[in-house]
Order: sequence, then structure tokens, then C-alpha cells
Amino acid sequence: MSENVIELRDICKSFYGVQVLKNINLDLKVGESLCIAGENGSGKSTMIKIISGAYTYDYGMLKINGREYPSITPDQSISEGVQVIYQDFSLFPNMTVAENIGLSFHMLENKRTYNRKKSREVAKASLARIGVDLDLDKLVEDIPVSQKQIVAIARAIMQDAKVIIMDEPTTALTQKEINRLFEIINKLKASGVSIIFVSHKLDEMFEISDRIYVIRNGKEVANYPVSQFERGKLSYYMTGKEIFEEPFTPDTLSEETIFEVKNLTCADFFQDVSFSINKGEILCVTGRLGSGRTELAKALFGVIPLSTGTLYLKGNQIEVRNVPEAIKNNIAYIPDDRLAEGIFLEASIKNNLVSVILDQLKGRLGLINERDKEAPAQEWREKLAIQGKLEDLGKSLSGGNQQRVVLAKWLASTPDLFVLNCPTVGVDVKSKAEIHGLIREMANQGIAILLISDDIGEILNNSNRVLVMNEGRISFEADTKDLDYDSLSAKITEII
Amino acid sequence: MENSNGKSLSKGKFLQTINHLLAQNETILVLSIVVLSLLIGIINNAFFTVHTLYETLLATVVWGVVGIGVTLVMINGGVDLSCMSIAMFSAYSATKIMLAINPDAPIIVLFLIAGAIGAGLGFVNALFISIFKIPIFIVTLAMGVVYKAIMLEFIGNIYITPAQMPQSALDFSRTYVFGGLHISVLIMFALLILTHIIMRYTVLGRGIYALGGAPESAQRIGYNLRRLKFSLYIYAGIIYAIAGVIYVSNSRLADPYDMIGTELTVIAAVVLGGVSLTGGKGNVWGLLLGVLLSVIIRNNLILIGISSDWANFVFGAIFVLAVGLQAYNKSRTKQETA
Repeated sequence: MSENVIELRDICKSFYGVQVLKNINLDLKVGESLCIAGENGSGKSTMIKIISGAYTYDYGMLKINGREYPSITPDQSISEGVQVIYQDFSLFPNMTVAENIGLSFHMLENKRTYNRKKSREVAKASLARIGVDLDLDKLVEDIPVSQKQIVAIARAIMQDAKVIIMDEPTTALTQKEINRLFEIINKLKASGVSIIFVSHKLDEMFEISDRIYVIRNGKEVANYPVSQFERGKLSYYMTGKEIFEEPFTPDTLSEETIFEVKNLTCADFFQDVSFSINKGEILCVTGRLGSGRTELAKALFGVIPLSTGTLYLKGNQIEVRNVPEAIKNNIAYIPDDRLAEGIFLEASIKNNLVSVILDQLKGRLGLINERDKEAPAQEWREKLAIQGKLEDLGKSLSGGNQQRVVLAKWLASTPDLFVLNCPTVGVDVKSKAEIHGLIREMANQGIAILLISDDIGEILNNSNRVLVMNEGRISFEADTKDLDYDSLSAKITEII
Repeated sequence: MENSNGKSLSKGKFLQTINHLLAQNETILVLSIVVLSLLIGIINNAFFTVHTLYETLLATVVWGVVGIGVTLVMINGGVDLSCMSIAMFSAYSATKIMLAINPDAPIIVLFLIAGAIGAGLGFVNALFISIFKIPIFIVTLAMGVVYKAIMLEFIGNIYITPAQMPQSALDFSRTYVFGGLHISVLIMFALLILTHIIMRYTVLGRGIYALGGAPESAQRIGYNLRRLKFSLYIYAGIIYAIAGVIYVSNSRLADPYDMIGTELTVIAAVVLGGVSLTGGKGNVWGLLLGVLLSVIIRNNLILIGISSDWANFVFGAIFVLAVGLQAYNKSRTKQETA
């Protein structure tokens, strides 16, 4: 079978006179997985919204299951079997797994009365179809992200779905969970469901997609089967620039140890962790979710207390029992949840940038003169090329710029140790490369860098030494140059 | 998901059930009610009579019925501060209308007129909440004051004395069943059951929960949010009106200055009943238990010589304890799964 489920011909779309899609052509075959790649604002979400009926198109032709739709409503799109799984999964946290799946069923069937038993049956059948067994009576707010995604998928396929569109499906998942997601996707493909991914995680796109479609500034720039796609050219297609990430090699690696920990233990999370970071190094700690990597990062910044162990910074023993002590010892930390813990969304860029160094700006009476904030804020805005005016609010910035603000506010405090917890999650390719550049520069300036990451591509290119954690212990250590994608991936997922 | 719950299932099941029960808000409420009743009963034997039970139930009626509406609005994610204004406005206006048109009409007419007025006021609330997207708290805070002002200015500010009250309302206040149970208790249970059925067994009712949990997601699976909100606030308005009529009938007095100002008592009982302030969780049975507990504390502690000031203290203490326990249980389940 090679018929097309979805056909787009010369689709154009403008908002307020700005053309965001220009003559888009696309064919999606039955059982095919297609990845739509592009930077933020490239038009990829607009494309999805036209297929799902959220937007109407200005010009062109849209065919779903061979039927032509001069305009399509969300309801029509759903009844043609098109299902979108949004990044936030659109689930109901206050309801059970069964009900999250079952309520949609009742809505689709236009039922007026709600039947609990039917909901359970539908949920069970749907989960069985993707080969997963979940506790149907658990509240969705109590299950981990990876299971939430499974619930969202089960809900999407419950009604005869023909096309499933997934927006950034792997962002919140660890490698092992991603592998399972891929198994599910392969099962769906085998049963004739077509999949569209919207993603900018390059490595994964190659692993799971049959075809990659790259869009830039509203135009198609590449559309090839994966086998014919040059891996190295993807970021070029997406950005229009050649971005090369040379593997990181320390400029000025010296014998001087900046940061060292011995026998760190934190009750339930990790045991007996020891390592050191020399001047100029980027040390990466990786592992599955629950391996203790996140908790290690948090413990070093005093967010969660250590049970035992000793820390040395520049040869002196230090105590980090809470966050203020960590800051006093020149430790900086970038949290994985940027929006909740990293940036003040409602505060200006200026206030964000000076938030760590407020103590230094204090006048005689302990008051801060508003004007004194200007100079350091301006300096750091320029140094990190943050887009936007100093007065703009944190929430007005793109993910990449937000992350730069978070980096800058800590750099302003001249840290000795920088703990980065998944610093490029949810950041587009171009900003990602720039953030990597900043991290390398920091390392070269002599700041000890501890990078926590589960993005294998990022690890291989941006660290010189890797520690793998497993069940709270360091299970593997190697120089990055001795590793490749497959060997590192195997070490991370290995069960001990 | 493929781990645990394999071998120790039967052995741990009993303990698990106990744990699960203890984590339930309803269990805590029932236990508090039982312990409190035993305490009162031991000190004052007069407490353990059918009469006291009937009296206590009668005392829960107005709060219990108003609480149904408040519960629904809270499941939607907001606090309804206009509940008592709508109740009083509807009941007082309906009484005046009935006295003007036909003072001898049966009680059902009074309920119908009040219900229509309550529905209208609920509609106005929904208008502001759904169309102008003003937070529920603000809308109901403002509208509560506005409704009261309109009533006092345009409908009347003089209370209707027992002698003037419609005969059917007076008869209603003296209607007892099952050897002394007031008829309005049955109305309360009927409304509780009706609401329970709507909330649990209709797609509309599940939609109210969906709306409270994640409004955008509710829209994405096909709910018409506007229609949901209008249904909810009109239903709540009718419920308040019924409570208002029960109140003025049973007190044989329609005083427009009465009732309004006691909203927080009901809201406290609803929260005590385990309805989440952030929306999406709770049910009417928790509400009933919450109201029962607060009635026992406020009305019956006097029986054992505790002054009403101390009764308020006990209520406050139990309130903080119960809500604190809810929060604690929640953070514990969060940690277990994290």
C-alpha cells in the first residue's frame, strides 16, 4: 500500500500579512513515520495546526484519506482519524488513567451518560494495543511523565486513529523511556498508523523516522528518506548555517584540581560517589532517570541534604548544607526546569541578570539603587548576546534566550563550580550550539563544569570525561574520546 | 509499571486497605464525627436519641444545600462568595412575588419562582466568568454585594413577619415524616443524590471535573466550555434559591438582612469536606460530612457545657488539622511516586 493519508499541495498561510507558510507540499503514506524538523518559528507548528484544523489555510489543497477539505474543523480532522498529542499531553491530572482515556471515548461517541465500566474496558483495550500495562485507577497527577505520555498515546489511538501527530515527544524522557516509546511507535506503524513527529532532537529523529522534512522560514528546504539524508547536513538545513560541533577538548587542561568530592552519600538517592574536576575540564554525569544524577546535582547546590561525604573546592574543605552556603562557596546551578526554577518569568531581564549579585549592589543602608543595576545587566546582556531590551520580561524570551539569561546571572557572580542540569532541554538547535559554546568558554576560563545530561550527542561533543550513574552509584567512567554513541548508550541503559 | 505488586499482594492487602482508608478525607471526617458524638453522648446521655439525630440533620439542611452549589463551583476551581446573596435574593423576592400574586399558592410555586430567579442570577455570574473571563472569586465577591444592594433598593428592605408569610410556607415548616424528621432533610438528600448522579454518571458532570482539572484539555476532547460553565452556574443558582426558600420557610420569617455574610461558614465546611480549593476534586458526600461535623461542633458542644466561643475554637482546630492532613497525605503520595 502506498496511498497517502495526508496530502498537502501548495499550502500558504499568512498572519497579519506575514506569510508563515509558502507553498508547502507534503505526502504522508500509510504506516509511515515522518519527522518535521525546524527551528522555533519556522512554521512547523502552523503546519500541524492546519492539518488538525486549528487554523484554516489561505491557499492550496488539503486531502485527508483521499477526501478534499477546502477548510477543515478540528472535529472533522479528528473524525478522519487525525490525533495530535501536544507537548503537555492535554491530560486531566485530577482523573484516573482509565477516565482520561474513557472520557474521550464518551465524548467521541456523543454519549450523555458516563459509564465507568466502559471507560475501563476502553482504556484497557487501548493500552493492550500498544502492549503496556498501567494501573488504571491511579490518578494521572501521580504517575511519571513517561507514563503520562503513554496515556496520551493510548487515548489518541482509542478511536481508529490513522495519523498521530506528536509534538516534541522525547523532551521529558530518559533514554530507556525513549526506547520504549520507539517500540510503541513501531507497533503502531506496523498496524497501519502513520506518525508525524515535530522535534528538534536530531539523533532521535534519525532513529525512528522513515523520512525527514525540514522547514525553514515557512518553506520546505529538504524532504528525504532517512537513508538518503546526510546526518551532518540536518542542522545546516534547519538554520541555513553550517554548525559544526567539534568534540570538546580542554584548551588548558592542568593538573590543578578545582573541585573534588569524596564518598558522597545521600540517603535514598546515591551512595559513595567520588570524583574530581580539574581546571579546564567539563565533566559529564549521565544515567537513566532515577539513577541519582539529578539528586547529585541538587545535593551539590544544597537543595537536598547530603548524609555523608566531603567536598573540596580549590583545596579547601567546604560545607554545603543549604543553597545560601552553596552560593557563598561560589557554586552556581542551572536547574533542569528552567521555567519553574531558573528564570523569573514576570521580572525584567535586568532584574533577572542581577538577581544573584544583589548583595554586591547593596549601598550603605542595605538599599539598592536602581541605577546601579544597569551597568552589570548591560554588560552581561552583551556578553551573552541576549536578545531583547533590559526592560523586557523573562517570559517574553525564547527558550534559548531564557537559558542565556539564567547562565548570565550566575556568571555575574564569578562561580568556581558550575553545575548544569540538562541545560539545553527545550532549546532550538541554533541556541543549543551557542549554549554549548558558552559552556566550553566557561571551562576554558577555568570554571569547573559539571554537566548533567541524558542527551548522548550533547555529552559526546561537550565533555572530556563521562561518569555514568546507575542505581545511585557510579557504574562507569571514561574519557569521552574513547566513547561513541552506541557504546555510551549501552553503558547508560545497562542493567546491573 | 512492571515492578512491585506481584507476590506480597494478599499479605499486604489488608494493611494497604487500612492505609488507603486512612488517607481518605472521608474516613477522617467520619472518625471525627464518631469520636465527637461519643464524647458528647457519654457526658450528656440526652444526645443519643432519634430526636437529636433529626434535629442535627435539620440543622445541616441549609448549609448542606447551599454547600452543593459551593462544591460544584469549587470543583470548577473557584470560591463562590455570592451563594448566600443569591439564596436570600431569590427567597425574599419569591416570597414577595407570591404574596402579591396569590398568597395561597402551594409551596412548590414558591420554590419554582425562587428557582427561576436563582437561575437568572447564576446566569449573570456565568456571563461574567465565561464571557469576560473574570476570576470566579472576583465575580462572585462583586456580584454578591450587587445582588444584595439591588434587593434592598428595589425589592424591599423590610422583613416579612410570620403573620405575613404565605400559609404554604408555614405549613411546610411544620411538615414532618418518619415520626419527627423534617421534610427539608429529605429535600437535601434528594438534591445530594441528584447532584451525585449528575457529577458521577453523566458526561456533563465529568466535564465539570475535567474543567476544574485542565480546561484546555477539556476543550480539546470536545467540551464546549461556555456551555459547561453556564450549566454549572445556573444549576448552582437554582440550588441556592432552594436553600433560601427552605431557610425562610423554616424560620417563618423572610429577613433580607439575614443569611448574607455567612458564606465563609459554608465554604469552610466544603473545604473540610475535602473539596480541593484548586479545583477538580471533591464530591457532595464529603461536603455532607463536613457540614455535619461543623454543625455538631457548633450546636452540640453546648450540650456538654462548652461555650460557643470554645466551640468555634474547636471548629478552627479541627479545620486546620483536617486540611493539614489532606495536604500531608497529598505530599506523601507525591513523594512515593516521584
